[in-house]
Amino acid sequence: MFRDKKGIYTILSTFFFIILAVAVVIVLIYYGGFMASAEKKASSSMNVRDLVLDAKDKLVYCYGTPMQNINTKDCNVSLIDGYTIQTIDYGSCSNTTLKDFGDYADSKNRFVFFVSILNETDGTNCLGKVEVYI
Amino acid sequence: MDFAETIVSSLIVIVILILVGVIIMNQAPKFLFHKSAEQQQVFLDESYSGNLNALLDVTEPVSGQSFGTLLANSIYYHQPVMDFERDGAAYTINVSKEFEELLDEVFGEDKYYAKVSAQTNLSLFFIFDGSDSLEEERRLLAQNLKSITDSVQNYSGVPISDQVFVLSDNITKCNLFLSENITCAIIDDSELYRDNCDDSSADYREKYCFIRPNVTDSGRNAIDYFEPDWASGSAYVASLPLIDPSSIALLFPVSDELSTSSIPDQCFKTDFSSTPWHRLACDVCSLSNNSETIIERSLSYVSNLVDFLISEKQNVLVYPINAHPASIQDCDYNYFYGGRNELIQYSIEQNGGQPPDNGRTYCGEDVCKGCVDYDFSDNYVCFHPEVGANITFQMEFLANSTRGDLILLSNVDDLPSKVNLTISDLLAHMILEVGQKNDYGERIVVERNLLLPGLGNNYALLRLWVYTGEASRARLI
Repeated sequence: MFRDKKGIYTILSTFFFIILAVAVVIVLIYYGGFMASAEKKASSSMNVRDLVLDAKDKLVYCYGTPMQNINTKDCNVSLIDGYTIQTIDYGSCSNTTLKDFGDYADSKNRFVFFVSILNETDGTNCLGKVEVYI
Repeated sequence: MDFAETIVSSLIVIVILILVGVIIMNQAPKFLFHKSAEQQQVFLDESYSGNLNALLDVTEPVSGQSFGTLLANSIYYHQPVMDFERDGAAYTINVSKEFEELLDEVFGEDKYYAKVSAQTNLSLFFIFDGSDSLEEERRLLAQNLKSITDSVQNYSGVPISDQVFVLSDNITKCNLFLSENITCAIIDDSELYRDNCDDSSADYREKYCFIRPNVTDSGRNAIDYFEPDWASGSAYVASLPLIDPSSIALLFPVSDELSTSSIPDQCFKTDFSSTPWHRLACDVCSLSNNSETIIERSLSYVSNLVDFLISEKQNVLVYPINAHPASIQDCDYNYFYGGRNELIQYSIEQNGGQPPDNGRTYCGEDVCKGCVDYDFSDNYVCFHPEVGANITFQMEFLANSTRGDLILLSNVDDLPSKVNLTISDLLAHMILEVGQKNDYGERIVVERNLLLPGLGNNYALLRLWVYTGEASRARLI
């Protein structure tokens, strides 16, 4: 009789542990998948920041410091949707959009940087704003 | 037993697996979080740094200077509000307010704190007229100088050094300071003057014409003119190598006379021992030396000092202390009574407080009047009525030319507090702060060195805190 119960116990315990092991593995797989997704999302936003900084550096390199010839020159920066450049109202400068480049109507992110822009009328430096869309 | 062993060993394996799983699950997000936070930090650092550069490059419209230069000048001249002239019109720039407006535009209102402060040491140099009339001033300063410098240094954090000089050939005049462990040295005429002017000379005394006063046929001792020569004394101290070009030096010349004396040379020629009131009359009635008045001579030395400091010592600020007795301003110059070729002393006290019937003065000049010394003691020295105002004028000219300030010492006991206030006030004006300081807020810190004008590599440090809460990041994203 004891031998019979022992056989049942063995089956039940084995079944239980198998289920438990499977559950642990499923949890680990699920969590691994979740972390992979989170990492992908984080990497994506990190990449976006890198791209935006890179885009800003390229624009500064292209237009110079202070920025000039903005109206007459187009600087194409890849991997972003577009950008705008405007002067801010201060001193002899007014709120004026000097460049509106690209198609960014559907962009999810907008980053703002401040730069100095040459006022070609009087040679002074204006405070300017560059908006990068990605 | 087999069954129990199976269960227990299985449980152990499962527990180990769970523990390992939990550890891995904890580490992964932390690593991810740190990596993301680092990237975010780099992004914000670079962005805010670039934004600050843009702000400092902006041209301020009235002064035509970049904003970085304007900030440095504001600190250097310790003027948060600066005056400019442009196209014949006068303008005022509130540097602090304009800086704040630009920071609001770039970083957002209430999202930052900025402080600009001069990074420099401060050296204090006191140049005392060595005459006995200033002994009380010397004693007070000796007793209080250490506490003044300690309190200012503790409050401001700026390192301060100090030294005292006394215009004299008598080293005992330094004893008061040496007994308080204050460095003191005497300066005599051999150090103050040269014999010739030579504007190509390397010696500042020849180049800027600090020559011995031209005194001829005089019973006068050299000490009578070099002891009160606070202008030449200040020039000497400013020329010393111990004034570090990278520090800011404050000179405090202390005197109650015109530079090179308030008494004309001819008053020293005659022996007045039997008729002291004649000497008194000479002192109060004469302005002229042989070729120039004592006022003109003093002004020439002060002007030479200004030329020297502006040309070669732009890190030196002068704060003259005018110890000319206020009581002399109250001297009643009307009551000398002139008899035939001699003065008669008129005692108001002995005449019931009444002035003489004839208010004539001894000297023919309109401006020359007498003054009464009630006890007619020889110890009382009285100067020409124009002397006091000219001491003030010349000291003020020197102060204004060198970005300093005049200290009027109407009460000798005020000396320590006035010196303390002067230094504290200067340091307060060499700091500019805008925005809200929050020591506990998460922030990105951006720093810049702004080169101060003038000789030497003095810098002002601009430290900007940009708070990095969600609302702050919205400025960038």
